Amino acid sequence: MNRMFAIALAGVLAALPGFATAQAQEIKIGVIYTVEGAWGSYGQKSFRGIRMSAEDINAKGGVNGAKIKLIEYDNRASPNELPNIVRRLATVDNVLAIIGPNTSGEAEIVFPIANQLKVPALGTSVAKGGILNKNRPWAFRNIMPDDQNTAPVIAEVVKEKNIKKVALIMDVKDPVSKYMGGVFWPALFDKLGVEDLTRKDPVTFQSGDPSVTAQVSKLKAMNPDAVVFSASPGDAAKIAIEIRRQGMKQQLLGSGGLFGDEFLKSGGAAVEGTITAAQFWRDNPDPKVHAYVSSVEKRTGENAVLHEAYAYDGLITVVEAIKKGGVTNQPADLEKDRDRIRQALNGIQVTGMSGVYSLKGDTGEVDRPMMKAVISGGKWTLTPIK
Amino acid sequence: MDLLLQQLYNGVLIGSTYALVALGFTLVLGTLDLLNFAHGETIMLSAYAGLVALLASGGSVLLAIAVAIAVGALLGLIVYFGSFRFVSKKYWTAPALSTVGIALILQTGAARLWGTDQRAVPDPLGDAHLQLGPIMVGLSHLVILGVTLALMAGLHVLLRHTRLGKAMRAVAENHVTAALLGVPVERTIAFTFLISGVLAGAAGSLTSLVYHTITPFIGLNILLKGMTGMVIGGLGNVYGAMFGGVLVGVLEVLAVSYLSSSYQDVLVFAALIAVLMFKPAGFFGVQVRDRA
Repeated sequence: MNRMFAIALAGVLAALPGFATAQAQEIKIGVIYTVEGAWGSYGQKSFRGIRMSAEDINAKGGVNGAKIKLIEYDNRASPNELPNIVRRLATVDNVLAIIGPNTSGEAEIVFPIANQLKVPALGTSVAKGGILNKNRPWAFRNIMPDDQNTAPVIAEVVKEKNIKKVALIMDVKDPVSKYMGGVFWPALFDKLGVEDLTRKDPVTFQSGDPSVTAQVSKLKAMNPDAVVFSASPGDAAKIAIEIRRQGMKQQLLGSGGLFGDEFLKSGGAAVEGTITAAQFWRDNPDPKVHAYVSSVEKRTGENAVLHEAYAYDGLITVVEAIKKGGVTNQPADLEKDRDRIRQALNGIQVTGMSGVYSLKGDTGEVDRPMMKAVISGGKWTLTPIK
Repeated sequence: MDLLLQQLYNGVLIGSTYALVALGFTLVLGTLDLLNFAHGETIMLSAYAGLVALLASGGSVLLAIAVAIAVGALLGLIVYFGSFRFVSKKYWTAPALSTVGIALILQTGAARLWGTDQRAVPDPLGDAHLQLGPIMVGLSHLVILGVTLALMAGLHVLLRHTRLGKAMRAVAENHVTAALLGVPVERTIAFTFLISGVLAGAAGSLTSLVYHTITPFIGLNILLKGMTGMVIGGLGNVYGAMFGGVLVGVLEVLAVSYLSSSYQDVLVFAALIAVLMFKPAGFFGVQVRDRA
């Protein structure tokens, strides 16, 4: 009898408008990163950043009184898990938007499915150029692609340092590095009139290759003015150490992807003088940005890094779009709400932990200040590029 | 020509570390017919232990190698107890599968403990080097080659001229007969794992010096290279493992230098297939059970 009464009471409560609204109070945002595999550290930082962002937003009362609920999935560094995760987020968890995944290779799986299911997807750490083109209008990112970020910096450095011939070392396994080494760098060298000594005889490696000794011996024999990395920060640092060990004194150059603590810490003295582009300025003097950074650093006890900041801002971006788009967060309005978020993301302006930026309405790409980063005295020194 | 000589030297250097990997792997395979898939992770974890010692001691390479060897030996024993001693022998695949489990535990543990970023391994000898004609030989390379040769010579002496070595060879030949002749089989097997761990520890610390950085994921890659070297040299033959390891290193470097890094595995595994087709016992293997 008691059981029957409980079931009946539950039915009545669920039918009440107030109770239904209370259930809809949570705003569900899907998150896909991974703490495993070679890029697991990025995922750890991204998860930490987005969780702190949700914590901060909820502490301030949430979004129009509704709390943010992150529906998190770790794809365990396996691309095979991604299609199911995206479909589950879209059709079972009924999230309003998806933030993630970790890498560009994974985004090439997540974005098309999100686009097909009409769920806004925002990448915070996927930097391969051109990745959004095929996945519009539902794909966005708040990280600047390596190519856009890097070209003006390198143009300035080539002029300043009078660099005439360069040698490129490229990771042919990692999609971002392969794109940069195969498409971006050759086009940039041609545009700048710089001779690429590795054009006909490429110097390549594969991420995960333990040794780069042979590659560096080959670079040394070419005797370039500068060595250019198309590699992840850890691999580039490893190459830099071998370059110095083999007695090469050349200028080292790289894309914005190298900027960060990993390259600095792994490379040590060998990476001193390296010049790259940068897009996350931890010491940004803007008071609002500084407040975000110091609040996060106080809690983590560590220096804030790009992936953490961009994930933190990814949620702020979606929340701003929810407010701007007039999302109702009612289950019946799910499809309309997703479209409202998509439309609001186009052209949205955000101030977050990584500075002030906007998402371009036509491409979904981010527009944020570009900077030149030089390692000097064991630290990154940033100067804005006009 | 200068570049070729330098690259051949690079190949021998890298190959010597593969040879150590192959040696440790082949010892267990030769004695027990057991594929120890945790060998790569033993190397990886020993490399991390060596790095911790290197940093704590302010740059003592020899201490780092000693600590890595000690940790490798300990892990060798853990693998023995965890995947062999107390694992049912009824199912012949059980011990090998247990080593896969141990490998996963070690890799995940290292990733949680040290993160997945590449960790720099400082070289206290820096860029100090000797110029031998066109070949540049780093001082740290001399340490690596010296320790590798010493371990190979030590293993030769152990197997050929000690009671333990004779016991290991007897157990490799036939467990039952060895036991009937009074050889303490279990103790000999435990020592085999321990020595395999010592070689893995040395390989871990030395490879990290050659590679400059380590990650929790280096184990499998290095193990595959070592295994390939072992098969090319001759299954279960320690001298074959030495030769095969060096050959794999040289082939890999030549592929990178004159083709592309995409072809390095192609060339190495093509050599492996060719050996399996035309000389299935490997260069030094007459029969599977004909060992050093």
